Amino acid sequence: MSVAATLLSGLRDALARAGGGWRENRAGEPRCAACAYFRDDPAYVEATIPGLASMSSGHASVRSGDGICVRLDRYLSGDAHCGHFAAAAGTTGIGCPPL
Amino acid sequence: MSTIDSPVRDAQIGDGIATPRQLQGAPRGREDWWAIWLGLGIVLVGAVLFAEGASLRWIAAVPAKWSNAGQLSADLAANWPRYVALFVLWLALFSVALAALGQRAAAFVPAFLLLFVASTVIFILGQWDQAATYNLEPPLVALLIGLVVSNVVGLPAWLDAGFRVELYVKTGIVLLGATLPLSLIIWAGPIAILQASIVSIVTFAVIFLAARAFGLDQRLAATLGAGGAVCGVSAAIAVAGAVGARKEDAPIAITTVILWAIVMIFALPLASRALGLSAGVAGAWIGTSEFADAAGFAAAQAYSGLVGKVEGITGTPEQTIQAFTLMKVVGRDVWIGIWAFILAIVATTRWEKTGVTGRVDAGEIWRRFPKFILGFLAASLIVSFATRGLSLAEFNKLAVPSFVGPIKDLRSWAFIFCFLSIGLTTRLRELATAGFRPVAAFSTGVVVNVLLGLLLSAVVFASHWESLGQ
Repeated sequence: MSVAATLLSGLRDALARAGGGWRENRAGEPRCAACAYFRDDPAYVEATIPGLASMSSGHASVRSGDGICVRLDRYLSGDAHCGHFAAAAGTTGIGCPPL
Repeated sequence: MSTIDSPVRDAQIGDGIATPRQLQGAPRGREDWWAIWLGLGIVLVGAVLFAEGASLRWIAAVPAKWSNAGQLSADLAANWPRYVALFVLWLALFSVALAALGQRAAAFVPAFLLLFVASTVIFILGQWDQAATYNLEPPLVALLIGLVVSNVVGLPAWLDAGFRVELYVKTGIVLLGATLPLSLIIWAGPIAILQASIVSIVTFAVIFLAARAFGLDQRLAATLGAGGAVCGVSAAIAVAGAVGARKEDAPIAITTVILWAIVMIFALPLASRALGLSAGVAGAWIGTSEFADAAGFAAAQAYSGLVGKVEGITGTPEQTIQAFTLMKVVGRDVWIGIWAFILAIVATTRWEKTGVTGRVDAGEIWRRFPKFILGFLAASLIVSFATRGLSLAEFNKLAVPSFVGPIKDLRSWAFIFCFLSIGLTTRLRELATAGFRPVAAFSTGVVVNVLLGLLLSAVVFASHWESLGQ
């Protein structure tokens, strides 16, 4: 089996094992991006992470929809979810993210 | 009061629940896209003017070479209206972009005026015919002045509104695309990708394994590894989000990356000079072994300033920039989405659970893709199209002075804004404390990266980089 085929096979296995979590999220779990504990504003992220604006930016594409969970103290994807979700005002937190 | 006051205060209170979207206006678009619109807008205007027999030359003012005060004052007296017009142009362009991104123009205008005046002084200094003798390369001077001002003198924090490192460097990279022939990207890109991939994978593995050996958490190890292997601070923040790192992990990695990046801005050109590396080889090495785009361009531009002025350095100044860009932008930056995607899968399936479930799908690759690279490629395509049918001699006689040359000069301004902004925003006392173990793990990777990068650039692929664009 070639190296590429081995890598692809491993990737498929990993995705299969991870499958439950992310499919469930896409199907209707509340997303961090809509949670009241989640802060993804670029200015806030730049102010909270020293040095980010020196050689990168809170507005950069690579940051995607990431933000800081002030409850769990983690820097997370806006598409993640957990059991502490609290809907921010005016949101249900459910649904797929805009691209 | 800056626009960040409300959310920061809210976080400091630590009340937990808030409605962040009510606290500030939502930014419109991403910085990458705005850099594309600004850069491509300039290139398109240049292409139209070129087709009509006109040029951006007048507004793309740059200081002339000078050897005494009389020449300098005569040049400034003759051209000051062009500098004023150039300032207004940049101010208008960046104001539109930053206003869309949520920045207040009231803070940006005075900050950018300061930045423009300081950049002009640095540019003038770099045009002194003795500048190379005293190592007064504009990128290094800009960085040093910025670091001294921000760390010794100090500036009000609100002035940071004008020091947007990434917007300037991304705009500069899009403009750089106009000066890099598409054929060169196609010809040299695969080798750049091969070399960058080898070094990136090895560097990531070394940093990750060293970090684990030092007992660091897997997510911090991955954040550090990406910072060293892919694209510095941007990679660190991207991977931190993809793997769900602790809040303090990204600042630790960023501190480490910044400190090493600043060291490398000075060390790589010095080492290249000491080793007598050709322009192309040095550019490839810097592209392989510098960590952030902005820092790398500072190092590459500094070395390109030595080409033709320092004995023993062969090649052309543009070769350093071209080799660096191919290696860093084409070879390394484009893969950040894939790194984030793979590491997100690994974090979800193999690492210790954190109570948070991430969504892992291939869309991650596009969402994190550094979109400004598309602008870089589009700019190259536009110039290739606009100059189709011209022979090399005609291109050099017609397109270079009136089309590509002015864009190159505008690119130089964007990069000087960037280099000065790096220094002005890097306040060492405000950086997070990284600690011995993360720094040691990262430094292990740096040693391997630098040696492997030198081996590949100066030995394995040396002939490729030496003949770049010839």
